[in-house]
Amino acid sequence: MILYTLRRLLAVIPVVFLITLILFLLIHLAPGDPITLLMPEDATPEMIEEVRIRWGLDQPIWVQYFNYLSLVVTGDLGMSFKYGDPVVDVIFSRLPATAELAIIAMIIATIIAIPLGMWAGAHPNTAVDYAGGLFGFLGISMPSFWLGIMLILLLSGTLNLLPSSGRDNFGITDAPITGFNVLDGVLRLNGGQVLDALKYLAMPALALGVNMAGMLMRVTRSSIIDVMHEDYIRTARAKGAPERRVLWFHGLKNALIPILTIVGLELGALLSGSVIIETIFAWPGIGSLLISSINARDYPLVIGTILVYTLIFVVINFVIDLLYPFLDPRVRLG
Amino acid sequence: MSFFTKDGEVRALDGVDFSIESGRTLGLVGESGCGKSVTALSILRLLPKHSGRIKSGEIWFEGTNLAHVSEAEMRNVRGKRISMIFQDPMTSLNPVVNVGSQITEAMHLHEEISKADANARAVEMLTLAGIPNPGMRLRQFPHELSGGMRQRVMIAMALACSPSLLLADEPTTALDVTVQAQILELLLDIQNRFAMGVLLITHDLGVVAHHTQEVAVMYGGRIVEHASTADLFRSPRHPYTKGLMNSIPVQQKHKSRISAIPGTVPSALNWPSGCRFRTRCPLADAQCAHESPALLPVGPGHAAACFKM
Repeated sequence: MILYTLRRLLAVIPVVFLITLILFLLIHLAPGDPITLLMPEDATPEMIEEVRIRWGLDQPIWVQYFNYLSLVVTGDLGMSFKYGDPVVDVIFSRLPATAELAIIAMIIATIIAIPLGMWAGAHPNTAVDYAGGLFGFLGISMPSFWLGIMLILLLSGTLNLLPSSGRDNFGITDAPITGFNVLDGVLRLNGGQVLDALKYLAMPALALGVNMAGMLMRVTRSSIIDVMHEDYIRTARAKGAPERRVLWFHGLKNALIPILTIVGLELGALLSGSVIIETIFAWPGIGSLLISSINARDYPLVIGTILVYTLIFVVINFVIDLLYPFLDPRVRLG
Repeated sequence: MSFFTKDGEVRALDGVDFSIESGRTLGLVGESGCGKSVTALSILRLLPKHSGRIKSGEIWFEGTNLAHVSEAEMRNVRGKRISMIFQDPMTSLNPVVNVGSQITEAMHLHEEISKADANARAVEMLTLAGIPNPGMRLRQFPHELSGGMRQRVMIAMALACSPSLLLADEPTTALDVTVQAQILELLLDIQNRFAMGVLLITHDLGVVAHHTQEVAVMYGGRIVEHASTADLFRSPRHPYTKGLMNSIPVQQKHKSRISAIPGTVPSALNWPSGCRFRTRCPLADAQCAHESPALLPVGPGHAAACFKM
């Protein structure tokens, strides 16, 4: 297990190396000059040239890349052109917002998808199954950005129930404890903050979660249908286990194995979906940060943000792999 | 007992009638697809609800007609008073639940028992089932055990609540020959100890000869011959039974061919008219095609369904 963890961690290094290389090349191929965007309009060519030398942008691209890489190795992702702060600090100040959104979206997806999928799968080809199937298809086929806009129109626009943008923290000015507003509210025993944080989270999390729920529901359904035909299900019934226990203990325990795989894959989709959703809801996470840094040609911040996304993706898949042996005793890591 | 399929109603079992006394073993013999397993599953009412249905008939067990009790009452019978051992121990145990939990499950379902007591009894059952190191096995998962060991676990599981009837559906078919004998010996031993009634389903006449007191031979969803084991082997009456006996390889001085029953089992969707065995029977004539022979006594405790005896 420890050896496996170490090996998986080592495998991350080439991934990071490749991602930085691709990004570095891509972004330098893209049109637009960060210096002209940064400098005031009346800056003289001499001033521009001076800044260009100061930032090292006059060097050949491969020199720039190796300068960058030697810093990345030490955990330094450079300075943001736009904010003037270290990229690492900028990203970390906004990471909790994205993490909180993703986690709540995932919880919503799981709470909807697993019971619905189990219910549909336990009664295949009945009205329940068809209703569940309809939800599944709707969930999969509705793009999250479209759902997000519809939610804003309905819940903020027409009904005026929920805030349409931002991530308020209930006027609390103390330094965040964890950066997760809901969790901070709970830790401060401040019900108002929890409620407020949830109000802001509700729509973006739902827009993200429904899409994932659709896919997850379909997988849960087909997985439980397969499992319920297995011999050990008959054995459980022969022992006199009530149907509820047969389904939710013997059935679910086995059905969870393929479900976990999809959760891992869908989390990746959820991350990329969050870039768009954060932009729509002006959610101050790393997704909207990425878009604004691209618009500002803030190279170090763009690469840094995507690098963090990559790392999150790699870590999630790694954690999912580590979870398999707990669900399936036949799996041995190594 | 009927199955309802997209190709129409299938009468899988038709007039299957037998009884098992406690402490006795009834062998149920026949080729694949003749309805042996369906018979056992019908007793426990474990056939898929949407496709299988007991259309008429009675299943009497300790004074109750199981065909008519509620599903909740049926659950109290399953695993507690009637247990079942399945054919394939590789797929019949839940792969993600440890052996201990699978054995104690029936105890917790049917009795008020503490975890420690249930575990102690599981160890006892595993010991009885001839598993070495039973305490350690409780925490193991099915994939860590061999086929023979898994079938012993199945037996321990079936015995957990000391049932009075055990349905053993080809309990040794999936196992190595050497292990088969051990498992059958074990079942016999346990049966004597608990005075259980056993329904031993098999296609192996050798197993029947050694381990049962009574035999019912099934063909096409019907019982075609029913006798004490000794009687059946001494004087088989039904041509199908005779065919089965002749197809057993016997060690002989003169080399001779094993005689097989010609043809294959007809589909349950489309049984032949009259006697269902007539399409493969050497004695069949016009009467067999028109009338269905009833199971009639041919001697003390011996009945067969054939016109040509």
